[in-house]
Amino acid sequence: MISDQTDAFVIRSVDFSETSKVVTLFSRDLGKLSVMAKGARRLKSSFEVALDLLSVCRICVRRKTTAELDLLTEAKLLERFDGLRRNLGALYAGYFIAEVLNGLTGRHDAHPVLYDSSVETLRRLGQGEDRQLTLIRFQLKLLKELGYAPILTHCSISGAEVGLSERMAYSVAAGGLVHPDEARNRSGCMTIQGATVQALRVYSGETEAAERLVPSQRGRDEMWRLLLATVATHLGRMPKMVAMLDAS
Amino acid sequence: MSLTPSVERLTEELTRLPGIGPKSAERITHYLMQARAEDALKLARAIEDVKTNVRLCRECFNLSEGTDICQVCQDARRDQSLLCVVEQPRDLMSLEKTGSFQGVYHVLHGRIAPLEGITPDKLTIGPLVDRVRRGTIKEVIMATNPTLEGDGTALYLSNVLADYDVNVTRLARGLASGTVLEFANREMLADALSGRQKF
Repeated sequence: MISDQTDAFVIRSVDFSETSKVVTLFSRDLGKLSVMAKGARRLKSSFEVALDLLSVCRICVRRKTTAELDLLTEAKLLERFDGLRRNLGALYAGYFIAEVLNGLTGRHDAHPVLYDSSVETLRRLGQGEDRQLTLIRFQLKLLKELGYAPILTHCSISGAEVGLSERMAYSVAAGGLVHPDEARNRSGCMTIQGATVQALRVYSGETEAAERLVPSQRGRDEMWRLLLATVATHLGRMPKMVAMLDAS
Repeated sequence: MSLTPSVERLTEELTRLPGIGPKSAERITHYLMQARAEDALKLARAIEDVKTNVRLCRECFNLSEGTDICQVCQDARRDQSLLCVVEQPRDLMSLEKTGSFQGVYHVLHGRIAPLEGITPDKLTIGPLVDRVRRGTIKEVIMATNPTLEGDGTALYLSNVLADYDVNVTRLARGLASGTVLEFANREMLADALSGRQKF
C-alpha cells in the first residue's frame, strides 16, 4: 500500500454505514479518488468538516492497488466556499462542476492544471461572479485539459483553414468548426456567429484580454450551448445539473 | 457446507440492513436460533407492527402510529405559529430530546441533493408551502444539517417562502457550550464570529 498526500476537493459523498462515508475527491496530484473515510460521520471525527461537498482539503490517502476504494487516513480543511451557501445559482454551478469532473475524469489520472482551474472557478462562483461566463470558461479549460478542446482555427473535418465570417458552422460530433464546403454536405452542424468563435478563441488563449471581454447575451448563449453539447457528448448524457441551473 | 434454506434466508435479509455485514448477520441469526421462540417472535412481531401501524403524519410527515396525525401535531399546548423544518424524523427526535422547543415540525424526508437525484419534488416541500400559505405560521426555523446540501436546501426553501408573510430563520452554529476557544477549529470560530449575538 502506498501512502500519499495531496490537495483535493470533494465531488461526491455518500454515507456508507452509521459512521463512515465513501467520498469521491478530485485531487491535484492523484486525480480522481474514491476513498473510504472511516468514522467521517461522527461528530468528533478526525476529518472534522473537511469532507463536506466542494470543500478543499489536504488529504492523506493509502492507495490500494487491488481494491476500488482507497483508504483516507487524514483530511484537513483548507478552504470552503461560503458564498455558495448564500446563492442558489452559484451552488448549482458548483454541483455542475462536481458532476462533470466526476463523469469525465479517470481514477488516478492527475490533471493539476484542471484542479487549480476548478478551485479558482469555485472561488469565483462563491464571490458572486457571472455564473454563465464562469462556467463557459471552466468548460473550455476542462475540455482542453482532457484533450477535447474545440477546434477553432481550421476545419475539424478537412483540416482546411477557416476564416472568420458572420455566420459559421460548428459540429459537436467533429469537435470544432466546419468549413462551409464541408458543412453543405453534413447534417447536424450548428450555426454560430463569427463573434462567438472569436470570443471562444480569446477565452481559450487565457490572456488578459479574456478578463476584459464582454460577449453579447446571444454570444454567451451560443458558447454555453456549444460547450454544453460537447461536454454532454463526452459524458454520454446531459449533465443532471443543467435542468436545475436553468431553473435557478 | 451450506446451512438450511431458512437460516440462509434470514442471514441474507439481515445483511441488507444498514451497518450489518455478513459476519454480524450470521451472529444475529445464530443468536435468534438459540433464543427462546417467544423472544425471537417478539422481534418479528415488532417489525410487523412497525410496518403495519406506523405511517406518516398528514400534517408534518413525522412518524405517527394508529392515527393520521402525530403526537406533536395533536398536542394543543404546542405553539402552532412556530415551525421547525428538519430533514429526517431522527432529527426531530434529537430536537425533542432537548425539551426546549415548543413549536411544531415539518419533516422533509431528505435534503436537496441533485447529484444523487434528489430534487425538490422528491421532498415534502409542497405540503410545507401549503402549511405556510394557511397563514397561522409566523416563523419557519430551518434545522436542516449544516452541510453544503443542508444549507442549499434551507436556501431553496427560504427562496420559495420569500413570497409569504413569514419570518425564516436558520439554526445558529459555532461553538458548543463547554468548549474552549483554544481547541475550537477554524470553521467553528468563523461561524461563531459571523453568528455572534447581542447581549
